Amino acid sequence: MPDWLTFNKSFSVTYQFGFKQIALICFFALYAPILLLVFYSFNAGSNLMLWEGFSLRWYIQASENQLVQEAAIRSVIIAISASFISTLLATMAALGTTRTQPFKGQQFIFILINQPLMVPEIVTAVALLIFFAIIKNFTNYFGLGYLIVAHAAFCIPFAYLPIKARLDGMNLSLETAASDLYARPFMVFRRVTLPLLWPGIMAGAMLAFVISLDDVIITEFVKTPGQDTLPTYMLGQLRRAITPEINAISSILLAISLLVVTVFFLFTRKKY
Amino acid sequence: MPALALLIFAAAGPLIIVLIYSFLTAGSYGGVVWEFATEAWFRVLFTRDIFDDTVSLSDAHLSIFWRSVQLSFLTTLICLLVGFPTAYYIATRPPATRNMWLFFITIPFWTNLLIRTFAILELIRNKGVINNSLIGMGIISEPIKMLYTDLAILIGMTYVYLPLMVLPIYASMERFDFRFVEAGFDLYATRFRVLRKIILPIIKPGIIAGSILVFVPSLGAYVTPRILGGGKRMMIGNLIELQFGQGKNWPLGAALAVTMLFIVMIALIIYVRIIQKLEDKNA
Amino acid sequence: MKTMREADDAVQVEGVGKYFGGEPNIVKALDNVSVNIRRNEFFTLLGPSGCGKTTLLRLIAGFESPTFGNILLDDQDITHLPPFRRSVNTVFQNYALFPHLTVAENISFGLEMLNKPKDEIDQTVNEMLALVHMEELKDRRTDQISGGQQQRVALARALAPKPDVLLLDEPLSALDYKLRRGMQIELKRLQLETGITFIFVTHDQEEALTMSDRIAVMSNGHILQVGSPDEIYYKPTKRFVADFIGESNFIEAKIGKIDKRKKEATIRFEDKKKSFTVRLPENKMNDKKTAVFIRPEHTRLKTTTKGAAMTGKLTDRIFFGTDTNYHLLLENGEPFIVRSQNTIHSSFNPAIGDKLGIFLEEDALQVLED
Repeated sequence: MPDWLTFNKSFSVTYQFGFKQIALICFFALYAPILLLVFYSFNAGSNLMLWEGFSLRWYIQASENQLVQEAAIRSVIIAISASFISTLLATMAALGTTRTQPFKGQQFIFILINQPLMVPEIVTAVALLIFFAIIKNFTNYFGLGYLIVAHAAFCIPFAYLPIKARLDGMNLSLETAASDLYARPFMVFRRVTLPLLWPGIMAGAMLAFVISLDDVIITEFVKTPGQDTLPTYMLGQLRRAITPEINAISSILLAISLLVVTVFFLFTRKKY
Repeated sequence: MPALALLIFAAAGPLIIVLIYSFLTAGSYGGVVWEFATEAWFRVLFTRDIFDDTVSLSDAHLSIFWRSVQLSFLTTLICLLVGFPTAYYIATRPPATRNMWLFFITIPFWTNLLIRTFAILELIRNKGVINNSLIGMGIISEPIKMLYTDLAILIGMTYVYLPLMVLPIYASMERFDFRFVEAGFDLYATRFRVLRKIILPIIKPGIIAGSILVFVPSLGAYVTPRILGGGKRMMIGNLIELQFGQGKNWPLGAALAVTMLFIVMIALIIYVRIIQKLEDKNA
Repeated sequence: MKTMREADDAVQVEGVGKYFGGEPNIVKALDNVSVNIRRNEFFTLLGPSGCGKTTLLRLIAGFESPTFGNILLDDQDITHLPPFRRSVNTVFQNYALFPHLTVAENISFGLEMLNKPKDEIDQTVNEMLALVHMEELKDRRTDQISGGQQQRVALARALAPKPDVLLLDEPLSALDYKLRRGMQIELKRLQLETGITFIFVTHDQEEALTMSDRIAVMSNGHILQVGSPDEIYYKPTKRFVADFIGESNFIEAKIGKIDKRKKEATIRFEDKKKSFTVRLPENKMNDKKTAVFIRPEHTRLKTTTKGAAMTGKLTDRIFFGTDTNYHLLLENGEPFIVRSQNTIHSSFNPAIGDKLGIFLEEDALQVLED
């Protein structure tokens, strides 16, 4: 067989021209701006693009800024509460919509649950704003409650997805077996369904937490003036003076998100 | 079961309220006066000249609508062109590294929208990284104006929504059985043909899902055009926000929101139709 | 339709039907099925996929309710009782072991649900572990043990609560041949030792024949015949049963003299002179011809056709080690199989295409109802 007929590279079924390059460029392009951002948060100088040496000054400034502190606390409180509520509701919803005989309107319920995902966020924001405005007229309550409820409602589909995915993947015969072994329905839930579902619930809670923490639009619309969360504070700052303080806050937020995502990934790795 | 009742209340309620509000009159300090009026809907498309009371199409509004649709569409397109190869690449990695790649593509998705938009802002400002580097390298002498243009918004939105395109396509690709491709090669197809005639049709659902996940939010984008477009270049989202802020015209805001929903639905239907037709042509 | 209850019936199924879906796509998984299963017996439900055997098992377990009919356990109507109130336990086809519990915890699950005292639980668990030879692995997670071991844990788990009846849903289908044979012997031994009524579901007729005290052959939602392995094999009442178990030959025969009092008739095949006497079922008393059934191992081949029941042309020889199957084509075009045990010194060596004489054992000939 002549030399030029032999292959010295093994044939790859999956190779497509240029795809690898595009993918790598894509990754680079996705990370470069963020990395730059973090990089410049350590900039000693106040001119954003002129590197004047390493310094933690902006981080210190941010942490001493009272507005930032308040906003941060608010963000965390809302995120934790909303994540808790939405995970709870999402779990119930997932249990209610799986394993049951298909009933009329099930499609409809599904759309309802996932509605915040299907509709541009701003529409949901407007709707919630109006809704709460009406309520504000009747009660004179102006506290965080609205934001928590708004976030919870909006986070439910995010929590719902990993929970339902996990539930779908669970073998129904396990619960049947438990029932066969004299476990009443509640015990089946407590001893079999819940432990197996738990990683999904955790994943859902993480997702809800991050989504709530990051939310800008809905919070911006629903909040009463002065009730800033970290993202809305940053939005305000961006309109006025841009200092590397924003870089610093962003980097911290990034670090938190990163942490949560990593934990999420650990929870959703299939063990059984 | 009670959870479902709560959800129905939470979900459908607001939408209905929005619809109702769009038919009311604007109060003078924001908020509404409960009087039925179609004024808001009128204002969506038309303006009344304050001097001579003539009615004409609202250029301002229309250009905003058009810009929004255009930008969203372009964003989706670019995301598709870049996102598909990326998803493909990740899905064809060996299982060991695949999780790693997935992890890396998911992180930007979970990063605050604001932060990501801000990062782009930093890049393309007149005194931003790109301009500074180009001037520093002597390629140009004056900064290229990129910020506060439509291009800026396009770049920003593409950057923000790219992971949303990649993930559904990845999900489809992961399930794809490459033995179909082997069969294609066995039957004398070229790589390109294999891509077009075998791979694309099968993962079509992933492509559609990804496109929807990019198009819908980008149409309603608010933060990104706000930061990258300045006050001048508005998209529908900004216009809506305006009504609830300075504009003090809640009904108009509500009407615009409903209009946007409407546009989204139509665009989705058209989009799906186009995909169907493309597939029929290729089949 | 109520069947006569005998004193030692463990489970009675009375006129049970299970329908799925609605008009016009109704699926009758079980259609008016009745059977009595005796205490302490190893009872098998045998049939092809879709015949309803698993459905029947699930009805007895309580995972589903019958569309009509009753199920009784020890004379108590359990038709609508939920599974956790029936003293019936199941070994699932895919084992359904709890992945988040260890082997020991799986086994103790049922006892915990019954609120048994701790010492009793511990003692029983140890007994069960010993019974299935899994003592060393008791603290392992169930996804870390082999298929065969999982199967034994599933068994132990179901036996631990000492149920009245044990249901086994094709538990051996996932095992390889050798393991399967071993487990068959194990299961039989366990049943004899514990004295629990076993109801076993399988589609493997060999398994059914070797393990069961009695077999119910099912097809299309009906029970066709219930009997001991001997009865089912040698005296099938329906064509399906004859065909499903072992190999069978069905050939057309002409009916000659009918003796209505003795319920017998003489038959002959293919215009040959040789005639046979067989029992004739009621519904065939006035027929001129009928299909007759005989098992291949009850027939013999000779090179001479003198005195043969039929003649056939050899089309194939299939060697099975212990036996050989000879495939023949009869003069009327029907196929026929003769099975002979192989001997070392055999002068019988026909070639394909040879015309041979087929000889039948008269007692093995049967005319079936259908």
